[in-house]
Amino acid sequence: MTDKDPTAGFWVEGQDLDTEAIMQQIRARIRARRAEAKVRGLDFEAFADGLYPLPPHAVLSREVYQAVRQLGLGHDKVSVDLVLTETRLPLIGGLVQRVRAAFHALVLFYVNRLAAQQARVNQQAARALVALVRDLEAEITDLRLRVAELEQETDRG
Amino acid sequence: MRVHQLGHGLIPGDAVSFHTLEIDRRLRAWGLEAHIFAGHVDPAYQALAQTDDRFMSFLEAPDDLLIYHYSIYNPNYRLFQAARGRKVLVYHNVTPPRFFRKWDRSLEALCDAGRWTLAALRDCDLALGDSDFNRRELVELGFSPERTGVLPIFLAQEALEQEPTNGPLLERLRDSGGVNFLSVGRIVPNKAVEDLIRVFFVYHRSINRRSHLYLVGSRYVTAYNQALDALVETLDLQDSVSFTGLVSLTDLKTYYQAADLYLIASHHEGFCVPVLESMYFGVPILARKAAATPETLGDAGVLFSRLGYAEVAEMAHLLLTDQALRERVVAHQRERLEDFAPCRVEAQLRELLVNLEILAPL
Repeated sequence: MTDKDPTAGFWVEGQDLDTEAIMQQIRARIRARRAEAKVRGLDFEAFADGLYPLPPHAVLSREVYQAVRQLGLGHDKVSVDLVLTETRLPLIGGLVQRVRAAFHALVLFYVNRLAAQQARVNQQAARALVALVRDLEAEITDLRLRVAELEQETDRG
Repeated sequence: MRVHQLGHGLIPGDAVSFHTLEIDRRLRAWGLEAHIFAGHVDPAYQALAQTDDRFMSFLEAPDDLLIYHYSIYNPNYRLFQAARGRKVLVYHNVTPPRFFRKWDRSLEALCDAGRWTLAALRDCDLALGDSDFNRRELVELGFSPERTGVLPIFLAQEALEQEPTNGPLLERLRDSGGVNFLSVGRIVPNKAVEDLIRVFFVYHRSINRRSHLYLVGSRYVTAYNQALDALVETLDLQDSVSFTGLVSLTDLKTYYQAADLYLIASHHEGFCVPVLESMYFGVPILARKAAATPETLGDAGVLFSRLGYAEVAEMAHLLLTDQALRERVVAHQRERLEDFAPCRVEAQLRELLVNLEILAPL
């Protein structure tokens, strides 16, 4: 978090607009949102920069957290729906359509069984990755503390 | 007296095509023999226009007037150069190639060719920009200032009035009861669509979750599309940002009717027709102060300089929630729209033709 004026450089214009009053309102609102975010441990600067916010006490890069999050959201989205184009055959069209639908449903049954297995594998991979990130975070935090302690000892010595 | 119009294409839903057709309608009403020629004529317009090769038979006619609509490189510029009659260039702007450099080298080359060719069209009786911004670009390219002018684009006001609303779409757009942000135009890099998405992200995440951004317009810059899709996914906005693609006039009208705020972050616009459409539908406009957008807006709408996502999002919030402010902005927009009323543009067109001695003074 910085104390610099968040609206420095930004300006609005419009006929009959009390631009100074509007700018003051915008500044006040941003200050309030920043304070609220601080209380809730949220990364307001990321929002203000149009970026996905980092979790509190993040030690890895934004890309890592974003990728893990996307994996968490999408790991089970592997199933397939029935897509059947219409047949325009006269007379036997209805029968052909029913046979095709039955065949497609059968294929989908096996594909989706496979997809379910893949989703379980994805879930395990996602869990492993999340665990890995947590371990890394803990280790990096410990190491940083240890480095800080050693630096203090060096300074004293 | 014969007046021909020549252009890149005649396509439904295209502002330059509509402008061409409106000019044609007026020329005929004034008793002139009018023809339209284009590099590509959509089947819907085949009864109204011919392909540009058909213009060859008029090349040598010394008393004819040729109006050339220039918005993109097209080899038919040679017809304009070769025509022996009087010539008027109407410049609708060509996007500076630098905007495409990172995304599409062939489009960059096309825009480059477009700008380079424009300089070779100086030999004409009159060169018009549809904004003063465009006129100034012509002067910078060496066009004689006293032989330049401005003719704004005809707004499809009548067509929008007569077009029905898509009821089910309107119901769906208003269904959430939330706030709808709208931006209309081709999804291209100079429009800075990524900035629209980031501004909307700040608004959606920190101000109002019940909000949706609709981006209406064709998408053809593949690498740019992929980057925007990735941004939407990264910001977890898949359910709140919609790229509609090119839509029918009925659906376009419906999107405007359901919009609460019109947002533009474009770095480069030669005129910006959607600004007029937003004025027509009473949607408050929040726009980046860049290129021709401030000129088209006049003193209407709200302009921002030096983009700050959080700041623009807060300004959008003010426009959405401060009723008095919103009403004032919309009222000014309606006043500004009067300057682009079809009867005024028609009068300007007539005056230009009188000066060229194509029409007698009234």
